[in-house]
Amino acid sequence: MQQTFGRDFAELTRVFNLMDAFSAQQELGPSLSFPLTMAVEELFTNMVKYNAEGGAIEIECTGGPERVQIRLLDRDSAPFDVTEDRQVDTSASLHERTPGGLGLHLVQKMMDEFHYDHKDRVTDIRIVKYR
Amino acid sequence: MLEISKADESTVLLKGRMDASQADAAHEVMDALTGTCTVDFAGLEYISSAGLKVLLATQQRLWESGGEIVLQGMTPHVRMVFDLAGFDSVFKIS
Repeated sequence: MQQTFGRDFAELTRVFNLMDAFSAQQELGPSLSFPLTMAVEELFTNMVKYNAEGGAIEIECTGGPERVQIRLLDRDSAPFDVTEDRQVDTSASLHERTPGGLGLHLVQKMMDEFHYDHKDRVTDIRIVKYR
Repeated sequence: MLEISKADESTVLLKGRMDASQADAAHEVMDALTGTCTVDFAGLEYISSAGLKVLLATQQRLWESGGEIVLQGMTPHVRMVFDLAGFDSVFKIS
């Protein structure tokens, strides 16, 4: 399953529709569909926020007997390694908490594999969950 | 879609998905809360970091004036997100 999305938060409804359709096709329960959907939202919104001048964003979903993979492609983007440790202090007190990096921290924690590549201005991100 | 309603003056009910496209609407409601309030998650199917950030900002604001938000009724998957974010140490979750 593959779709192309405009660089806009309003596209999130279509992104969620794709994830719902993929989850249904692959018969994924909430223990897989929830973290995958969340990871895709975090990565998609990052692309929207930090590369406002770019073009369309492609999302490709593939499933197999042992794993499911989502690939996000941003074809006109500067390098930004989303897999780097964001150094989020999850034990900080309430008044010390800052929201920066929280989304990518959650992706790192929830995915079984998290890959980033950047070449010729194309950002290629792959996330994997094992069944 | 996120539906936000009030059961009474100090209890907010969340239903649906608290994602980046709904964060502004959620922020508007949370900004109006004062004192100590309960946020009921029983109808909330999904939350992302955008929703967590709204709740964190609300908790920090209320805490400064001696109040807080207490969270209840989370599904296991929403609770897992709170735990991974370390939010279980900055919110009362019942």
